[in-house]
Amino acid sequence: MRGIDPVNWADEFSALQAQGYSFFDFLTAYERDGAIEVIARVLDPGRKHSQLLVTKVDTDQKSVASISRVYPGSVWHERETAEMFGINFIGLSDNRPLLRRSMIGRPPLLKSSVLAARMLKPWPGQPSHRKQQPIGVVDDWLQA
Amino acid sequence: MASGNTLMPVTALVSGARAYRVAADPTLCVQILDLGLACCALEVGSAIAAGLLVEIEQSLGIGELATVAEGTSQGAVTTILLISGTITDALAPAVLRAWSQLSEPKAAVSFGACANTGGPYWDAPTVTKGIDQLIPVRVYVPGCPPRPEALIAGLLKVRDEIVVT
Amino acid sequence: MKTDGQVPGQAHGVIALTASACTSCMICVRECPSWCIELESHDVEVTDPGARRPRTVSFLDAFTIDFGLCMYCGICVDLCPFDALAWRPDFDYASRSAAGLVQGIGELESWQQGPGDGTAISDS
Ligand code: SF4
Ligand code: SF4
Repeated sequence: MRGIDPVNWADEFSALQAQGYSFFDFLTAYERDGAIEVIARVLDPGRKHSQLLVTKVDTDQKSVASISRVYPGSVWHERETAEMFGINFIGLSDNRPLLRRSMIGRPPLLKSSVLAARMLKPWPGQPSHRKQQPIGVVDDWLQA
Repeated sequence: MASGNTLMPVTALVSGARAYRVAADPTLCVQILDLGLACCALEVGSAIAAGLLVEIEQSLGIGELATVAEGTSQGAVTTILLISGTITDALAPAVLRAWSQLSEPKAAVSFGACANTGGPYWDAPTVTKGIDQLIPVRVYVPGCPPRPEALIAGLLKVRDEIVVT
Repeated sequence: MKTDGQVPGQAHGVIALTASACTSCMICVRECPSWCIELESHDVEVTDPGARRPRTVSFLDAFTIDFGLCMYCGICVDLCPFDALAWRPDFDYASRSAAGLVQGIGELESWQQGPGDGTAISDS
């Protein structure tokens, strides 16, 4: 896995494609230490070699360059990552949501996004004499 | 920003219903429209491959169906909308339209945890928590996925429910 | 492929409960990712003959699994320290209502006597 400076993200993929990495595998994101990182993998089918690249998403702008001009197959992945993490892919031509009905509301895959279903349903594991908390709910959930 | 997804053409989907005899009860004949939305759909394929469901013909005309219907215990061929898989909110309108376009007699069978309640995606913000929020379900088949045999058990339960008056 | 309608004895058809083995420890309830197990219990004091002090025993009042919600992951079966939960091959429990898939102690115990061969899954 190679970390890439966000300003070079799209250029790096152009260079890789020129080197023979013609097959786009996947692109997604994850949240770590409060920052969002975008990760993507491309392959060179001839040499049977792959490259896994990762970059940090600008925290304020929540944006990163789209690689869809280099790898058109990444459009679907960037659409999905955009709707699930609230990332703005600069240069992505298609920004219709896939699973969400609209982009209004919090991106569901951010750790800070509360799972409404888990808030509404009482956790059956709640003991009477001890405080314990399931995952996917806010800190003061039990007191609420 | 564009919003909303284009709905899939349901007409093509509905004409995909196929007629089967249930091996466990040769007098039971159903037309099944399988909405295979996720992994559960494989179990429906398994049921056919294992001979638990025997396809009658590629597609039956109205007249031929009537002939088949006479030989069945119900005197009619019930069309089953088999919802096997995860119903995302984005796809739910298509399921609703498929249901509304099926002709009577018809019954919806919810196959597997996702269709029953949302299942493993019960906490997902993009998944419908059970297809019964949209259409009336006749029989709920449990499992994640249910076994092919469970599909047959569910169909027999539909049969037992159909009261010939 | 099997075509006789018989399922393998070790199939993950349903989860059976041996209520007498359950200590109401709540491990399965808490670890279930679907939140589909519910359990109610109360403590009773039992004095064994010859014992100096009574001991506290949990009495299981209610135990339900919602098989409409269950994802058949087996985490509960694997984690139960007392082998109170076990897979059984039964598949014929479809219901006419979603609520009908919620099974209590009676049904969960009845599967314990099912036709399974009780063997664990192995690769051999
Ligand atoms: S199999 Fe998994 S989902 Fe089902 S009751 Fe056990 S832990 Fe919960
Ligand atoms: S883990 Fe086992 S002993 Fe503990 S509550 Fe669950 S079934 Fe009972």
